[in-house]
Amino acid sequence: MTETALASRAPDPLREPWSDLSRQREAATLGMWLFLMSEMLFFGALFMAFSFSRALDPAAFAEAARHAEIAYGAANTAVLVTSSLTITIAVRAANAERATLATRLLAATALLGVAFLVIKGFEYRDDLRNHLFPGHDFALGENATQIFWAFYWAMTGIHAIHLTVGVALVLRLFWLVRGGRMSLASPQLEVTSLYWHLVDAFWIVLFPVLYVAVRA
Amino acid sequence: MTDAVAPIDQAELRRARVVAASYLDSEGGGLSEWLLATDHKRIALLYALMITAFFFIGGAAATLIRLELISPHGHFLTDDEYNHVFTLHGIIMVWFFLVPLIPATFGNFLLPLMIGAPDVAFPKLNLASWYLTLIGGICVLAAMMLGGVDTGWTFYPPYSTAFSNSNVAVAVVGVIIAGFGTIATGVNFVATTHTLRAPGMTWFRMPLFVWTIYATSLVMILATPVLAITLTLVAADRLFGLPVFDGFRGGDPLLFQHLFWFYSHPAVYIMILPAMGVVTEVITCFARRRVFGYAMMVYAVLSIAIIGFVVWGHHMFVSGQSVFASLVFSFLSFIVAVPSAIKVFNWTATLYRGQITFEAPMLYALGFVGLFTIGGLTGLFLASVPIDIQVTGTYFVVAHFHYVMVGGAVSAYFAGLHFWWPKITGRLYPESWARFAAALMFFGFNFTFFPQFILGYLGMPRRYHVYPPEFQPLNVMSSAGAVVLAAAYLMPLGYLTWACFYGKPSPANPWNAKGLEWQTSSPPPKRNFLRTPIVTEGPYDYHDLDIAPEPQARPVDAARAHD
Amino acid sequence: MSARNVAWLGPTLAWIILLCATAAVAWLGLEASGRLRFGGALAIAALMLGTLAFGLVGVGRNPALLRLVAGAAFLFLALMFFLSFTDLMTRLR
Repeated sequence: MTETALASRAPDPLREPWSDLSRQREAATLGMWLFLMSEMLFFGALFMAFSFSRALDPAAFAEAARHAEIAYGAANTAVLVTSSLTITIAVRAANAERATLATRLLAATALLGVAFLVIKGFEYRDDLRNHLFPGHDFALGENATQIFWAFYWAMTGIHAIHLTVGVALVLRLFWLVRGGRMSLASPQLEVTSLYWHLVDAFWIVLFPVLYVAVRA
Repeated sequence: MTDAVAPIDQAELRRARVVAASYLDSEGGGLSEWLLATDHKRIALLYALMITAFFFIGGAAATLIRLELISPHGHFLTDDEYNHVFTLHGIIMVWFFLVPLIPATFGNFLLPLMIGAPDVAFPKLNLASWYLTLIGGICVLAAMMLGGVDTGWTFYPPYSTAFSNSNVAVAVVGVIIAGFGTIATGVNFVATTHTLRAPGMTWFRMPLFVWTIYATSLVMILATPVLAITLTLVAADRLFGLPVFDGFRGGDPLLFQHLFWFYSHPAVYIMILPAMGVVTEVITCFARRRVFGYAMMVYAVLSIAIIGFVVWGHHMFVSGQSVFASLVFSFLSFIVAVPSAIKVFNWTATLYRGQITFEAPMLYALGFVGLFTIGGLTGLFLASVPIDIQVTGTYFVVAHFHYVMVGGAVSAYFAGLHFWWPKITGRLYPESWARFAAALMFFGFNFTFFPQFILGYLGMPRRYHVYPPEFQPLNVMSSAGAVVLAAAYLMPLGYLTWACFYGKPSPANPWNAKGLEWQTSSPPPKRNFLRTPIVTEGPYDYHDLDIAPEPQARPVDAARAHD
Repeated sequence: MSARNVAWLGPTLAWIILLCATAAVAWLGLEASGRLRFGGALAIAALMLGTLAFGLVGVGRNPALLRLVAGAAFLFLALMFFLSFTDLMTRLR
């Protein structure tokens, strides 16, 4: 089936209460940016809490951070920034009505997201083997190194949850567009990519701060 | 010579009737049509029912508190049980009553109507907001069923994280989920205001209620996520042993307080700003006057929203926060009072030389102005560090926030409820009963809470159910007042429900008020307006109008008279 | 035929910058020390955030309103940081 025929099977993306698509896109984009604003405060508060806690005992944080594996963090960062590239071009492809390219890039984005989670899984396994989870058998003692690692698990965990949601959203787009059930003109593509970029942005700050800046 | 009249097209007439049918009837009345509604008016009613239910649960806890405090020795609750009761009262009243009180009901119902829109920007998200709030509430009720929480609604660590044996994690998860509902509502309202205003409805022609909903929504979006992450860290500590606030391991309990109050102070502005919006709508209508200083009112609302974000440390003056930081927060807290005061002056100036009539909404609105002023002034006392050191943690603070939240926000809610009742239900309520209830509420409220200022100043701590016997008379007075207040809350429940079934049908504009919501039928059709309005004048153009019509003299809707 | 060219160059350049920056951060973590590592990592993080925002998200092409929204988030975060640290930094020992 040709791409134009594929696109013409898709339902009209126009929804209530809108009377024209450009206004709807404008509202959808504004709505997503407002949500991103709330997410920036969400993650930002975590960073504030982390910085505040570090200021209480920089030496302990430095010691604790030395046990964070930079190789894993760097690999994951590379994976995630690549996924931001693929989703950016996917949306541009959709705007240019290149359905096949768009769907392939959406699939690639989701795959890269899953790759991140797999790498993270291996990293978590190593961290647990090294007893880096706060509790009675924590490797570094009963001190503020536990606070650093509490933040590590909380921040990377919350990020992973957000990423999983992102993967699900991207897979949904892939499935709907490929099946002709979503029009390439739908605002959902742009809006999902904004969310994806936010999840990437959080990691882009997390890796330099947690893995590198703080360490001894 | 008579013109030949074209025969009426029956199909077109049927379509017109469908379009014009009230939102209450338009999609059918089955349960699924309500529980899956995307019409903002239906969602507003869903919220109203939910909020009323939570109000009764929180009110039951309040009843237990006031009953217990009649005696200085704690006569039917143990210390532990009392902790659970005031915690439940706080959690329910803050997050499941006051935060959604006006934005989720009147905001939802009126925002699209007031700007001339057919619905909000994201109707399905609107329904999702309601479900998120509901699920959060059910979680909190589950925590209650499982034995409750005893940390206070403020969840301070290390007690909440390391020492409490109550269901903190369950309750906290409930609040987090409800918080997502709040954020979604905020996003919806801001997007709606930016993108769905009718032609001619410029920003400075919008009613002040819309401005307050807009500002409140911005605060919801910016502040609530910080609460979510803070409570997530508490839950992570309890569920996974992640000790972020643990002093024994080098953490700082004050970090929690900074994060918690960064949300919780703007949260009180979420509660009061929409109330201020309602009061402006009511006062202008029943004084028959344009609001005094519309632009300053707008800037005051925005200033309160913004400055409200940098005053949170006034909750921490005795916590161990540095003296310097306390002074900074104290200074900023004095500043934030200025725009609120400007609003009070402007309402007063609006009333001056107005053609004032005292319908029930006006009585509640005037009550708001007085009670909010008292609450606000006592807030200034609390903003002063030396005074706060004396009265913090006492009933002075309890009285202060009840004056602004109950005397303020709840009074405004009742003002709005009566003002817009005809619009929402298509029925008129019985005016004499309503006026009596308003007066009773004002009297009962002061009787309940004014003694608490004195108790607090004399040193009675809050959250204690055992107190020195010399405080008993004032406590008994407060509890007696609570009985009157309870009666005043039950009365509207009675006569408003009665009005739903037996009240006189209301015309489109029973008050002869300005505002787009009054230009459509009562109740409105599903899509709000039969034709998109085109706005050509500013709000509150009352000056040339006669006073609001007496109940007997209200315009009768000829078409509805035979209903 | 409609315009079917996909503008891939800008985003790809941004991606290359991000990969290089990632490598630089990793290098700082493994080889550098003290102030250089701390300041350098934070500076590169800011650079990466900017590259993502302007090179991939396209914030520079956004209407003013959306840039205001993004800016507002940073403003309130800054206030949160600033006032909390004011407490921490001015406590008496």
